[in-house]
Amino acid sequence: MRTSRSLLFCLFLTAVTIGLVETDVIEFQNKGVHAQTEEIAEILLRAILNQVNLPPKNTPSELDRGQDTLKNTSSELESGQETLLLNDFMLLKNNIDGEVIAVRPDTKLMINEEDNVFQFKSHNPNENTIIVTAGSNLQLEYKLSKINILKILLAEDYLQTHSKKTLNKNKSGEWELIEQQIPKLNKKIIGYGCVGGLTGSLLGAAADGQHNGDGSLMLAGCLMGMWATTTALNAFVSDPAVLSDSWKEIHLSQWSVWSKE
Amino acid sequence: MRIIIPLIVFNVLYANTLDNKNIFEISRGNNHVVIQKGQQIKINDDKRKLFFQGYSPVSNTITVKDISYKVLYTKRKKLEYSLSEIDRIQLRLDNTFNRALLLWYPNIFVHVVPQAVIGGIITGIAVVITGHPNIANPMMIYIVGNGFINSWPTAKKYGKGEWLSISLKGSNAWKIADE
Repeated sequence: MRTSRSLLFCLFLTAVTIGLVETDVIEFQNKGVHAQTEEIAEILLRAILNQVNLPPKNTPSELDRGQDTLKNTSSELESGQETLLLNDFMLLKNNIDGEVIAVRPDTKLMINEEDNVFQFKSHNPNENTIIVTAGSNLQLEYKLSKINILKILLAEDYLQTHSKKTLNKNKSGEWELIEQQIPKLNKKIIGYGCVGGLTGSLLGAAADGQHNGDGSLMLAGCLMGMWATTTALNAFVSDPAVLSDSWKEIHLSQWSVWSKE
Repeated sequence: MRIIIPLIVFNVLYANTLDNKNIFEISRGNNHVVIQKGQQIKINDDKRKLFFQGYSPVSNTITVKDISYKVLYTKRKKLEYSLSEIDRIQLRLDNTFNRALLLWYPNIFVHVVPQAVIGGIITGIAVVITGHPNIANPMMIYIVGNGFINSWPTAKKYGKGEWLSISLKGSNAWKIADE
């Protein structure tokens, strides 16, 4: 009896801890984990700016800092990384207002009037094509000359774990790095599931106490609560991929594609 | 004579299967998509998730299987569509295997329990009337077998899924690959 209560208490404690961490009530210092990604992003942005020969005054201070921190790294390694990254990214420049968008791998996009949502994989400047992926294993190639409208998802996909950065020109003509941070739904689901589980367990424990039970009602309540809250959340929250205002519509006739060549 | 008749029957059946291909290959530009037997598809704007079975270039038709869970029974129906009546095919692309692997076992109970309740009542009455307790066995074997057979395909159907829309008509249509 004592063992089963201890086990249930541990289960409780774990659920509460996971819930607090996943709902960001308790935050961990995890910048170190992303350091490598940040560094690659800086190299990429510097490569982009070198590529388009922007005057120094237009370079954002954040990038300057990034360049300073990268001075000590090997130049050979950097050029290798730049080449590697530029092959995977597609840079679009608006011919009218000069806006620049770097389409990163895994960016969700839609092509022309089709209702398929693809993930950008790479750009082939030699053949003027882009490679996109659909689902878990299908790759399709599209000729850019045959694409009139490219829709790019600006909202962060809730299932992705990386952030989305775009290089945009603001009204005063300065380049700025825009990073979108949208709460991730999977974290929310886990968080709500834990809270639901906790509520269910408390109700189950109360019922257990009344009937002098062995704790099974508490466990059943926990499971029921988790299931009910996650199901309800799934039903109420819309997928950002289907919200029309999350998509940036790019008419390729007004944009030019930059390439390494 | 005993050997000849089964041979003729086998020959006729085999000839029929020759017309039917287990894959359906379509292409547009440099892109080729192969739909294989067992893959989930949707036809036109119909929301039913169907399992592709085969394509017959002779009759220009595709055969699909509609397997759907109906609590007390599982509907299994083979359907044939002429390609001329299909505007678009939606092909399921997400990995359904892993999900089915997780859901297969609990899904057996989802199939078996409602049927077992009804079957239990019926056989219970039958046992009382006839006095033979073994009368329940065939019914239980059937229900459990049915659960085992239908659990995997219905578990694979679970979820919203990611779908690739392949239009077969219009200016942007995909073409059926020639043999």
